[in-house]
Amino acid sequence: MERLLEVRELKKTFYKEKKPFVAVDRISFHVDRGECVGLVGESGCGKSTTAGLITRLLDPDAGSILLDGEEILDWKPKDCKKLYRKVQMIFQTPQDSFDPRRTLGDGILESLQNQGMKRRAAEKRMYELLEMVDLGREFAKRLPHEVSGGQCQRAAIARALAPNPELLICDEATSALDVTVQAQIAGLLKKLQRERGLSLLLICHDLALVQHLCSRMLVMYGGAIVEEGAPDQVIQNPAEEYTKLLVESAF
Amino acid sequence: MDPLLDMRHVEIRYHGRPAVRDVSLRMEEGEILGIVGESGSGKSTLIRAAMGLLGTGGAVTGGTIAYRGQTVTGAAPDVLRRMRGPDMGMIFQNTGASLCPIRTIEDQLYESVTQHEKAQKAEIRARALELFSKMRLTDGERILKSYPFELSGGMNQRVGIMLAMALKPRLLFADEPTSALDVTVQAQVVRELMEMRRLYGAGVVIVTHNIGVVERMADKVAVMHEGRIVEYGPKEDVIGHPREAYTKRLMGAVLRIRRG
Amino acid sequence: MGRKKLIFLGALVAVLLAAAAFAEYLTPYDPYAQDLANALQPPCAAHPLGTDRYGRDMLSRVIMGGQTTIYSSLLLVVLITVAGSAVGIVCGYFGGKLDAVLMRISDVFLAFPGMVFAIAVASVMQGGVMNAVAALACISWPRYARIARSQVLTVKSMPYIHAARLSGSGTAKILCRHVAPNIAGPVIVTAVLDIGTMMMEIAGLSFLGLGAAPPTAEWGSMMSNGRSMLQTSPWVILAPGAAIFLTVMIFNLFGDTVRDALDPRQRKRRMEDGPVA
Repeated sequence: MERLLEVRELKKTFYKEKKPFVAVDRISFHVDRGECVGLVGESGCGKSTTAGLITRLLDPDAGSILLDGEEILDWKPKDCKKLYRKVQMIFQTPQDSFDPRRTLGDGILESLQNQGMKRRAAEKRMYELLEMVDLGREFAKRLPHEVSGGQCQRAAIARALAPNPELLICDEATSALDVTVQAQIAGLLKKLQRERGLSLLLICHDLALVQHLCSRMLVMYGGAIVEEGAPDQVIQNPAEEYTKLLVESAF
Repeated sequence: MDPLLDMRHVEIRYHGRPAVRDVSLRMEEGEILGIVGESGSGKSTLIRAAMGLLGTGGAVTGGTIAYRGQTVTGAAPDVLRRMRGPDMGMIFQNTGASLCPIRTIEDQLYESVTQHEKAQKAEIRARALELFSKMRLTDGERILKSYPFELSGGMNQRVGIMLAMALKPRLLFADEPTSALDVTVQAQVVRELMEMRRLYGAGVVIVTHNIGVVERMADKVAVMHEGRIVEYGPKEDVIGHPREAYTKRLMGAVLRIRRG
Repeated sequence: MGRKKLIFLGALVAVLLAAAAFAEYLTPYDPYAQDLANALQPPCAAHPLGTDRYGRDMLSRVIMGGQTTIYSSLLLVVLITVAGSAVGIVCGYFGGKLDAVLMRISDVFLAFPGMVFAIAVASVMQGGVMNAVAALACISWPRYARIARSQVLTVKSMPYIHAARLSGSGTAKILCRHVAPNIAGPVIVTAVLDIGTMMMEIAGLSFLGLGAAPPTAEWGSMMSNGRSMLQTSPWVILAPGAAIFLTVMIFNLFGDTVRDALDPRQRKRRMEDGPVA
């Protein structure tokens, strides 16, 4: 399979009152085209920081991130538009991922128009995107607090799909949702992966979801990747102490 | 003997809009009841009503709630205040945020216990340390001296359990007690809540959207949807062999890990 | 109830603004025409508020003075709101050295007793209403910068800002489209509440002779001119005094009502009254 994303020796330190805290400790992994990779770990283990680094929302101390073989850390902030055409992200709290004063449609249009689309064409495309995530046209005019969490997350996925990305990072994208809605969003992600060949990096703490969706999983603990493998294999034969505890704790 | 908790045809409204409709539940001493449902199903409202903590705009508009034969609905605020704690304890989703941020755990423990009984500090302290040791926490002394913000989410939840159990309630209400925790910590807190029943015979009502937690803990399960109980019965039946369409859909949506 | 109050006070404010805007057409006499034969007339049918020591009609002067006082204080508030928020947004969003430098500068301004500093600045710049406005702007912008900055610090870590960046929006677009509108609430509330205060301060500077220069009609300077005649011809000082009192009160009450209407915490509380799941 073709390699889409390759992360090498990535490191990020935060400073809180001058005290250093290594959030991501020289991690290396890759995501192939069309693959769904799960990144599992508890809160504070560095998994969201990793997502921030890949999307250049944060700057790493060291390491390299290759996208289709190109080093994205060399790109100037201006060139990051190029990055966002290939990599998109959805967030844990869908309602907070839309500007509270703007409609869901506005949010999607912003992305389309940033790609240079004219208003008319962008609107047409926006409705196509909403349809793709099974939302009716009327949702374009809604404000984020007027829709349910699940509907809002669908709109967020529609916005993420706007630039036709190749990699979608889901940062705990289903954990704030109700179980039935969670299952629907998981189904939607699986459909997008299958039908559009989208690669997924699923950041989450739910082993069952990872086992359900992913072909490979990485276990992160204390900023480092401690275990890697096919979900079935990792869950049935966890090698590391922490992974064992994680598997035992899952209900 | 009267049941530990008896709810009959309870209806609760917020600003005139019904939030809970025609709910009847019955719990025996030492039983663990799991109430599951999605957000907005009225499950938290129900236990708040049982504690007399509905807040502004909310009121029980029909039916009765009784604790060991004593009617809670319509009871004077003073009576309810005396019951909260020694009779009915409560654990919140985020204990850290429900405590006073500028006083130590120890301080708040003394205050909460002495509200209800005359007890020496040393005795209260011993009680807290015993509870901590039951939860296999060896540094109870340090925890008592800490402020809420110095403790992790999981540790704060254990403090919540300790604070509630220090008054030895017969009935413990837990509102999403593990929802903000990591899975590994969640598993521990669930174990500790079950220990409280085993050691002290406390009945537990746990409200959660996490069906796995209920499956692990509860004797009986009530499934709530749009303010009503759609299915209520022993755990094995409701989770293993749901009869109602909604319960089937809910259980079908739960992803489980395959261990082999 | 709150809504009716808002409409009522809003209407009063509108009347004041309109009266100030069309002052030229509302004055019964030329406010600058001297008529020494009729100097210091007590209120009568021809001059409802009497005349001053040059025989100028007090009513005309109060109306004309309203234009100067109200519009210069509005200009001042708009100026410090825009400038202060702009500095605050830049500091909050970019942080780092720029933030440190700008915030230390604002600390310097905040460390001085405001009015004393304004008096110093105004006296260096000589009189004139515009110079008084500039002097007061100098000391007042840091407060807005601080409010805007603290709001930006919360807003900038919200997922929707990250999402906008991932949508390919540049920094300028994010600041104008997403940051500024979302911090506007508290800034606008502060600004509306400040109008009254600023009016008092402009009038205060003019009273000290550092604002509007004679013969410009301005409430503060009118009071200052009349203060020697308080015992003999009290209307000369009472007319502009009452005008300041009423106007400041109306703007302050209006500000309070706007705050109640806009305060997100109050709106949220109303929402939270609904069923809690």
